[in-house]
Amino acid sequence: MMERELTDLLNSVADEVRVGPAPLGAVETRARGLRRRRIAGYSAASLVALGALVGGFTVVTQDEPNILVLEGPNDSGVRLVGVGHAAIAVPAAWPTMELECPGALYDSVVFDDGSATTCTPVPGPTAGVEIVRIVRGEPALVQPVEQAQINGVEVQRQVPRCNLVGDVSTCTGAVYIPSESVTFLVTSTTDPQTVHRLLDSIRIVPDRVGVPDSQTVNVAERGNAANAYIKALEGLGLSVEVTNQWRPKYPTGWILGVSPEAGTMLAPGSMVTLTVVGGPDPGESSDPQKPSLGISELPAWSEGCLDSYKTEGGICVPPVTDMGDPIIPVADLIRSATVTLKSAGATKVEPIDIGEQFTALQGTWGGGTAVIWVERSSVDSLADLKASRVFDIDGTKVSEVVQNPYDDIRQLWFQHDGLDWGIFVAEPNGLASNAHQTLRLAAQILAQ
Amino acid sequence: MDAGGDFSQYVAVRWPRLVRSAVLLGCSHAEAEDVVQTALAKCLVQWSRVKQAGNIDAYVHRVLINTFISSRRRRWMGERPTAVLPETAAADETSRVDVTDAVLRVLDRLSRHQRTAIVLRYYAQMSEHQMAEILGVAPGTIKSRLSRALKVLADDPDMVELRGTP
Repeated sequence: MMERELTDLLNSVADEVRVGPAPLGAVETRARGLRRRRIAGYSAASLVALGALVGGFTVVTQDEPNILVLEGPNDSGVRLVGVGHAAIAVPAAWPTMELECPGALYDSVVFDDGSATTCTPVPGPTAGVEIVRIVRGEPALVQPVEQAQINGVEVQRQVPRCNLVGDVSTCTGAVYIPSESVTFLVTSTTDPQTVHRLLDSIRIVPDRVGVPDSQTVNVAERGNAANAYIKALEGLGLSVEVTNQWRPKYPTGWILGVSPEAGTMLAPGSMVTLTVVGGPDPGESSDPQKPSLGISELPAWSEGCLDSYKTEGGICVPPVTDMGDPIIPVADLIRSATVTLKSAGATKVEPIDIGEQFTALQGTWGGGTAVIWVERSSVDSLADLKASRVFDIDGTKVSEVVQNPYDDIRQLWFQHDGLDWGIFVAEPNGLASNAHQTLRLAAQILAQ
Repeated sequence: MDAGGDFSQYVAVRWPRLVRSAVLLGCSHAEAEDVVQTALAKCLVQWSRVKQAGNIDAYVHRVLINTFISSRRRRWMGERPTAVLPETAAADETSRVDVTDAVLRVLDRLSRHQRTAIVLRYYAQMSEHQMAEILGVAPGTIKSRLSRALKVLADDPDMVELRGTP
């Protein structure tokens, strides 16, 4: 009764709104001003190519020597990613993430160390997304499970099956390789054939080894992470080069970055470069990279803050405090995160171009999924912002505003290249894990 | 940029209803057209993805709502603190009998989540599942928001008066 009346009322109000013809030309003009941000996709063509490659792929090297890259028909780049000698072929465009949240929105490879529950939750699966999770050890495979062989190696294969999750058909299959103590868990919200194709692409590559993920080591080993990781790399027959950077609030030995990235299949003897937290240069009493304000003005980073490293994607983000707090420069910490943005959860931020208004993430609003977008914007005066925190990134003041009438939007404002910039993230749950995304975007913009 | 016939057709057909949805969400008329133009432009640059979404209307509404939120936020950024509240732009008291004004006033009293849910369900005619997709929440959350919004409306004096209007 009430519902029908409501519909009638809304329609009567809407009918009062006089609307002219659709301004298609104006829409097209606006569209031309937007640059399409291609999300790493997994087209049907590349799936076909992947299927065609199975059993007969071609090994080539691309930009970096010794990195195994497979190329298929129609220039559909496919790469191997794996652990030990076990690898799976995926489209080269898929990002590899070392942490993940449930319900990822983009095709990707994830090193799943069980931390998923600590990340930003998202409502549920999204249709048309393929996720390959690389899980160390033996997971609880779901029946039916078949015994099989891959390149003469015994494996257990969980037969792909589909279930309705929400209103999205979600298909899952897995291959456990006991000799490598690794499981490739494939989830597809496209169709079960996709799961089959991906599982069929799993190979044992005797003359290559996968670069192990570093995040698990960071968390497990803390100050001894670099040593433990170097030992693991050398145990795989890889050479190691270490670059030290001083990060005063991180424990010495913390692994800041690995190149090539985790999962890359390398020939024995190949070089892996680590960026590790080291001590200050001799004779220096403070962080040489640190801008304007003194370290004493930094908040005291706690163990809990370091624990947030994983969920914050590499940045120890201080808790949001009330408005009017003093300036908190965290440029040293921001620099510690790569500005080559990757997903730190369910979100993925594409590299951006200055001067473009775009939606970096086509997510959903209102239920826990972060939506990040960047705009060249104009406010009357940045100085008037009621900033909750102010960051200093390479000398540029970046104001963060969290509290506003629409309390689920976090904003960063700064000036760069003669323009006012705004970065916004909708975060209905107020989760700090979105904070690093905006900070890293700001750092990337300022680095251009 | 080639809009493509299907996009043009979609815009031609849906433009009025999208603008009106934006008005019901809380936009002024001019703002509504601006928000919808922006939302459609975003959809155009990824039209192939929109078409693959299965439900074009749901996808476009999702973009529309995101764009609307963005526009709300920008407008707030321009505000200034003041010791004395300015006169409000409340509706003319003499027009209280006006249905349009009364309905918009009632909608203004809803929270943003509730208002969005009401507009999507009872004007855009989205199913609860589609709304869950648009808003990125569980269907149960949609039910909850709608239920609470309907309760607010049922208790609203203006709404009671409207319902009593023959």
